[in-house]
Amino acid sequence: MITSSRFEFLENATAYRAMQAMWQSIFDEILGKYNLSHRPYFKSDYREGELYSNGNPIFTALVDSVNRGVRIIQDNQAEDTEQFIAGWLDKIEDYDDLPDFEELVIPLILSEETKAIAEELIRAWLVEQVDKETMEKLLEEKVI
Amino acid sequence: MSKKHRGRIQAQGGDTEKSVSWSQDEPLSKVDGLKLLNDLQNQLTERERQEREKQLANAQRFIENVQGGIDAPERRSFYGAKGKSDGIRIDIEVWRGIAFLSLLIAILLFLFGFK
Repeated sequence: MITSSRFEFLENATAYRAMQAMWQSIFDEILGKYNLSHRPYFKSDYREGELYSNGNPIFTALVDSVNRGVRIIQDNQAEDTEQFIAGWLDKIEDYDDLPDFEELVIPLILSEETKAIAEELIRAWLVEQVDKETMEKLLEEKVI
Repeated sequence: MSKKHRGRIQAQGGDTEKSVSWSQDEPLSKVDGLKLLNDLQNQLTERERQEREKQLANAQRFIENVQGGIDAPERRSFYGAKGKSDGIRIDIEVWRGIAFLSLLIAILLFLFGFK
């Protein structure tokens, strides 16, 4: 059962930043073991009072050395669903201030289960660097 | 020479890839952004539109609600709780400059040469 507390971090800058720090730790831990560095590529700051801004995305990580990025969306667009994680592959191109690269997008409602799935998807995409076809299959298997 | 304000609104997923874009010297206003979204909606088949009903509504509310514009680089995705891995969605991409300013601010920025 969804409770309002699951989205409380979207209404509170301090809780929002704590959530971002959690994602930072997850990426640092997954990528750090393999000496892969990452940097944000889209802004994900807390924005007061705007609809569908906070959490969309909550965190982005571009690994320049593998030319791949991950965008995590953690907003309330799927609020009528109890458990939710989805995913798709996309391309970042045509931006003036960004290189072209392949992107994995993961929207989710955070739970222990969806967090574990997200970690698995991030690892496959950025560390194991599976090809797009394999990643598509993995996404089909893993999304809830 | 490349225009100062560029971007795209795209319908993707479920074998659909349709888009509208802007490329201009003045920031894209909210009004023009909403017109582009409407143009994209008109490109979709009835089925494509039905699949993205919630996504289109959320994208519209997002544009209407933006305060002070969206600076590049930016991409916002509007997706459904159903659709899972097929990624049926509307993406708003700001490639360069600013988008979704209120009309008055967009005109002032253009006239006084900011951005």
